[in-house]
Amino acid sequence: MPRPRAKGRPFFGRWLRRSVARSLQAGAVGTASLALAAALVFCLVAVSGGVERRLGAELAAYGANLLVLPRSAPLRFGLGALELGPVEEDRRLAEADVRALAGAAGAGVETVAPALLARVRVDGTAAGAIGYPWDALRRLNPLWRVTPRWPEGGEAMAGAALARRLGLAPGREVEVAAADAPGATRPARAARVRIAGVVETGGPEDEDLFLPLGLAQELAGAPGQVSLALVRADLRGRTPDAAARAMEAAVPGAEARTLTQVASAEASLLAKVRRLLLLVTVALGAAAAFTISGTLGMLLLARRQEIGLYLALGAPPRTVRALLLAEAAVSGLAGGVAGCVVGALAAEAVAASVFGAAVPLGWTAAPLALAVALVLALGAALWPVERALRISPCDTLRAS
Amino acid sequence: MPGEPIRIEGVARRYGDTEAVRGLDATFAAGSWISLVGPSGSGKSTLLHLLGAMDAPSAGRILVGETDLSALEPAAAPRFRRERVGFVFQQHHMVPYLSALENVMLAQWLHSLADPAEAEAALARVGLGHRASHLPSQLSGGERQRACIARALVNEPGLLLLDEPTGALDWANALQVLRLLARLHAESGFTVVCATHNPAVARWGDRIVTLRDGRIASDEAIVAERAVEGA
Repeated sequence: MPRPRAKGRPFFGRWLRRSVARSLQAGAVGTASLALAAALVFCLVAVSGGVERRLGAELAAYGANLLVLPRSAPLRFGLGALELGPVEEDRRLAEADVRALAGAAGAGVETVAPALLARVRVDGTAAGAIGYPWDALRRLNPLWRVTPRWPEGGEAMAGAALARRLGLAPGREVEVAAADAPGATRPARAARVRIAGVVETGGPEDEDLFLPLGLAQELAGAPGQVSLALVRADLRGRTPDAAARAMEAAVPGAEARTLTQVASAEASLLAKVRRLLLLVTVALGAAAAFTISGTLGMLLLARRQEIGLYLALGAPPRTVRALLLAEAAVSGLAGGVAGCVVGALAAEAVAASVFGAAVPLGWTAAPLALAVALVLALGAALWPVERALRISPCDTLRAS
Repeated sequence: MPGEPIRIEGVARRYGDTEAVRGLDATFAAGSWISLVGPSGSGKSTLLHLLGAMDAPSAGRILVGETDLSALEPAAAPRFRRERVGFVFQQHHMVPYLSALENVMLAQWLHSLADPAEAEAALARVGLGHRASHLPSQLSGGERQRACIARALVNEPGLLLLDEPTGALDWANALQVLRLLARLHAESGFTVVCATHNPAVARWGDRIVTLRDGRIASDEAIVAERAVEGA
């Protein structure tokens, strides 16, 4: 029977430290490959996050992507080039509820522009009017061409077609009165406003007069009420329908509709960008895995005698496997850390050259790059290690 | 641990169409020193590997003590090697990045636990106490072989297998190694099976078993050189 050793200490940690110190030198090429793969992953993840953020910001310039209006209201409302139909004027939403959308959970609301539609007379001529808060309307439509400037405070803005029809030039004062309801006995409410600019949207709004929301509510006799709200929501990570349902839950009596063309084009573009970056990452990862596997295979081939010696000394294959995989894991982590540093520098350089500005690096890039390096190292090591363990110690020791 | 008795019964080992050894029958007494000689390809190394459970016979059985090596489960063979056998190879194989002391400690740990004091004592027994912290690359061939002997014997095995233990050494170093082995053998009483080409080395055993074409051609008891030297 073997003599049991009563005292002593474990040795695996010391063995592993020595082995790793040696393999990091001998396997510098493998570690460098892992660092390169990790750097690529870090760079792609960081830049893709930045791309989505920048793309999202740039897409926001194309206007609202959701519409909130009273439930069951027939819709014919114009937005840019989109003809959406009429809105029943007698069904309205509370302005306070609509403004509260900005904090609605799960809706991703970035900008809300409550609007009130009204029929008015401009210097005695019938016209359509829309009341908006100027700041929100301007944030939603930064690409609208307004000549010479956007209105402020109590000023008005004329749609290009309406301005041509009624000869409304910037700087002119006009009288705006609520359209008489059939059979009305009271005199209509009226106000004088200055036309600050003429807007060309390319859509049906070019026929309308844009008023400050408060004035439109006063003329329509509907203080604190709105006909609808244009909403810009962040659709990264949520579907347009999910955002719409969250908005309906936040505003009593409201129905949210996606402006399909805008929302789906946006979602599709973001998904394509994400897919492209994922494919590039996977392809590069696969290429790196083959390189690393080949390098490890060569390194283990050079260690055949050492592995044969372990087995001849009675080391269980699982112990030798644990040693070799632990070496690969340390190599992977070392490559991963180096890759994060290189990747961060590369991401900054790529962002600067593509966007002309720094993109914020997401916190997910580093752990993901480390995990990829670790998985690549272990994945690439598995087959060469198993092959090395099939070596007969008789063959390797005799061959020497 | 006292030496292991060995019984070899009708052992054959085939590799494809080639029979490396065939029809081997032999008994080696506990504590004896057997020299295996014969030309290259005669089956010496194959028999040594079979005795160390590094390989399994195609036919017949080998008993080391009460253990039938031909019936060992795959997981039991490494345990048998680390607990009951010591190996010394021609090329004095050592783990290149571990010091002499750590090479000995590795064998200890594979057996049970690593004990640095005991490992140092094992190196001191082979005259390498002062070289314990040196890497194999910093040791001479003779020193490496002595470190391998310390590693092979640190777990006090009952069987020591030597494969051309002096093959890579000049005669002065070879003699030093043989004297060391003879002294340790006299002290501990383990069984030695030594494969060698060298007749001078073979004469250090109690018996010389000559293999030819995988068979035992002769089996001769002799007066061992080590007895003559008074080791």
